[in-house]
Amino acid sequence: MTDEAQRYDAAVALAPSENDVATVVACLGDASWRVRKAAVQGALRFAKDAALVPALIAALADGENAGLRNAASETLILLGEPAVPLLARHLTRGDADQRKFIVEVLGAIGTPDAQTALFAVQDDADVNVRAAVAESLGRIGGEQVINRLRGRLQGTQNDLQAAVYVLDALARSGARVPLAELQWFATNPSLARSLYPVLGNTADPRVLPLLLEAIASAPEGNRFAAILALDILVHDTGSQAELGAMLAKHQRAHERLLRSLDAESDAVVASAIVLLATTRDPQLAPRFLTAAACRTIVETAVMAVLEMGRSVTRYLLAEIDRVGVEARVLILETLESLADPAAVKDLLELAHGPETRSAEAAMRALGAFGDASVIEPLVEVGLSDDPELSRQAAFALVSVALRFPEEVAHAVRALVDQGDWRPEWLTVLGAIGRESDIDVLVSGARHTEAEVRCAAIDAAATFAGRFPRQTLVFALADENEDVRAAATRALASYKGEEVVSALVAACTDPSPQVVICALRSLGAVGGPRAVKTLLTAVAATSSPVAIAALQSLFVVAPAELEDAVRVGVRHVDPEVVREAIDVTLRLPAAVAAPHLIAALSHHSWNVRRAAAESLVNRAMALPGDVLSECLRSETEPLVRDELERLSRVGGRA
Amino acid sequence: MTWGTGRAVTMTDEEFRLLRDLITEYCGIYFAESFKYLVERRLQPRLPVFNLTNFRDYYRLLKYGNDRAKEFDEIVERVTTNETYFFREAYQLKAFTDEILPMVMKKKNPGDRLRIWSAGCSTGEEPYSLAMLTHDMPSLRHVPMEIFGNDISRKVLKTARSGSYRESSFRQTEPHWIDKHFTRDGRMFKLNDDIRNRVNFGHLNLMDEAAMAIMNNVDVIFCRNVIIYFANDARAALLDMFHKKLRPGGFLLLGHSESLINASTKFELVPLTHDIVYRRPP
Repeated sequence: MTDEAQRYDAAVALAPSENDVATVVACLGDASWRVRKAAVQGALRFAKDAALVPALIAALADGENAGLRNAASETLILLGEPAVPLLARHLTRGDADQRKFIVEVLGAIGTPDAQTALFAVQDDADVNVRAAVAESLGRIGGEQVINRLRGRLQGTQNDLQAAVYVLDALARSGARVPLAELQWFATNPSLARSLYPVLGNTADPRVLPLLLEAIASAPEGNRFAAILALDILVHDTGSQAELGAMLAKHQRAHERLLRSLDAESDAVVASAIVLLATTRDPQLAPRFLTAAACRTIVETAVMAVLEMGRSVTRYLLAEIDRVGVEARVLILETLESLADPAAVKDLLELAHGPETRSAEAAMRALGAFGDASVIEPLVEVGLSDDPELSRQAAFALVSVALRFPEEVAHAVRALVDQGDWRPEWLTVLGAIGRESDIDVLVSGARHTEAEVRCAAIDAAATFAGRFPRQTLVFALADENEDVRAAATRALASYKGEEVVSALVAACTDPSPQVVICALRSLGAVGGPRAVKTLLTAVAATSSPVAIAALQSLFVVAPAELEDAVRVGVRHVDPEVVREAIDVTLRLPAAVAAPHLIAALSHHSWNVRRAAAESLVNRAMALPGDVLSECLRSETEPLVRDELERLSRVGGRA
Repeated sequence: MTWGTGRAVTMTDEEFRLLRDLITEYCGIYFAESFKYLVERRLQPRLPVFNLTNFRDYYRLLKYGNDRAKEFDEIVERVTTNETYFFREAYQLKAFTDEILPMVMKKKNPGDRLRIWSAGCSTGEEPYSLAMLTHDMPSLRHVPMEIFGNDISRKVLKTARSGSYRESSFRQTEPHWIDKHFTRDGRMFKLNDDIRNRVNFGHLNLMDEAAMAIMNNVDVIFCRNVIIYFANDARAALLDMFHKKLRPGGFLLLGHSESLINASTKFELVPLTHDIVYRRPP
């Protein structure tokens, strides 16, 4: 068979009643990984065939076909314990390559019998087999294995390669090996990189100076291993203070650790930060944050700095203009968490821009911890011509108002009373929600500037029904679509037929933005007329309209929900279909299933993934070979992940 | 944001993939999966701006929203590392003044314009560095010159036009340049007008072929540390466009970690004393 699909079908259909073991092995050695993958599953159906395990073991000796070897290994591992006796027997025969593969299979099976078989060959004549035994035992771990590895280690003093593998195995197993057993190996520099992780796991404080010396004097690769090991040791022994004192005296180790902050590996940089942080030297704080700024270890650096407390503030502020944007933003975020009033002056300067991200972070910090004295300067930033800065200042004032509501409201209201109808001020007043400001918001809703009307009406939403309803209803007739949209949003807090009628009418607005907001509000208001409008809107050609309708129907969950799903999954835009898939969560499993299964063959990966995820979450059974077929044809990794999860949670009927 | 208390919304793999593909479609910039954390961290502050609580809704805002072009600008500004500084990669600037410009000028007639383009100029340090360098070259004193910088982000262009910089922009700048061309203003350094007025800036998406019509007959293109962000297809299209925009014999200068291997065969390599640059064959 030359066609991959045909070969795949044959592999899927492998059955003891139809095929022999030779056919199984042929499928396991196929050129296509998909066929091999299917063949592994098929091979498991031959578990009772006495010819299977010997054939698989023989396949491990195939030096030409790596695919066959790997598929045979995978099958043997899945067969597990029943395969162990034969595997063990072959460990004393065959060539070294085959023995090595058998060792790896036994290591993956890992049962007590497999361990026994591995220990029996730990002195194999071939060095690669011995190394594989050590590695496999390390992967299995456990007290008995670790004890045997420790015993084996002592016999490797004349076999450095074996020593390396045994040390690696001990490191992998997390063994706490007594320092006395490791001391001989510490004398051999070529074992350093393998030894350091084991030393790091000892939880023995005496190891601390050894690793510190290694950091000071070892070449780069070994130094990085020592840094990672020392991080573990210090954590396990709780010897942060001791290390800090030693580092203060050991200038070279300190300097090497500082240099390691530029290492490529995020793990090494993170460990270097943790170790240097034991000195509690606040001057290092900017170095930590700069080193972490564009990496995935931001949290480690920030935590290390925060643990030093507010002593770091002045050093962070001193560096703020010298570092790039990313590091500057990170410094500002850290200052936000430190909440040190000493930073306020600099934060206020930075809040004025011109660089927006720093200004945004500075204002967030001021909003988080600034006292009433920051209100006036923030108001000043709010008066900026830069709309982005004004908006951020308003956000910051809203945050400050959580602690000083009257003070913020008073300052902002004074500006409005003087005729400064900046939309941001109305947003702030709305967020604070004083009854006494309703009048100014009502006036704002009649302002000549559409932006002001919009902000006033959006602010009205905060008052949850206490704002004059008729003002909002009139705003539905505003000539500006943003204002009409704001009015439909605000009406979500009101009840009654009149509101429903107004919102239903808004659903015929020429602006999709207004329709979307009206549909969302109808979801909040509910009722038969709302449902009818929502059901109609699901069929809209405009994707955001259809999505808004589906989202509201999800909230209301009417009896006709399946009708909406049926329409939604047929939409031309995958994003609408994706939303309809989410709505199926509100349907009984039996009703949802056909829609989800059909969606598994949708042309968009996004929809297929959502359907598979939904099936997983509901642990739904799939009929026949649907899952196999999906797995066969699926090429998108994110969808495959979900399908594989589905196969693990018993999605197959 | 406060660490450990209510840290912002996380981005799912699906959301990352959707957003990533949308961004690539818009401007050619591509992020591998390993960048998810950084994209998430840098876009988190955008959610409260639109009252959103998850990245899925943010994706929909970008897909269907009225102001999506503006928001794409915001994204690009945040997710690309706009970390640049004056006189970056000094060895290359030396090659530009000492070797490339003499080769270019040799082919020009008196009165011919010299046109230099800083493509993806970010906050302007690169085109202003070129302006300072060429300002001090006696051989160019009477040569009509145009230095143009473009970027896809309006925000960085605003900084560029203002000519106002923090200390971090001078990490590799010799003090005499600062003394000569900048005036200190509090914590900022303001570029003097004689240099500032030598550079024009424009808001151009390098993937927007129609908008690129304004650029032609360029002598030297600096496009450093930009193409690393692009998907393979977009990179090939971009290099094709640069090829068209250069005069025959014009030069293309990339960042030190960038090359045209597997990207374009239309350029020829020109070995210089301390650098290798690309040239449109004469």
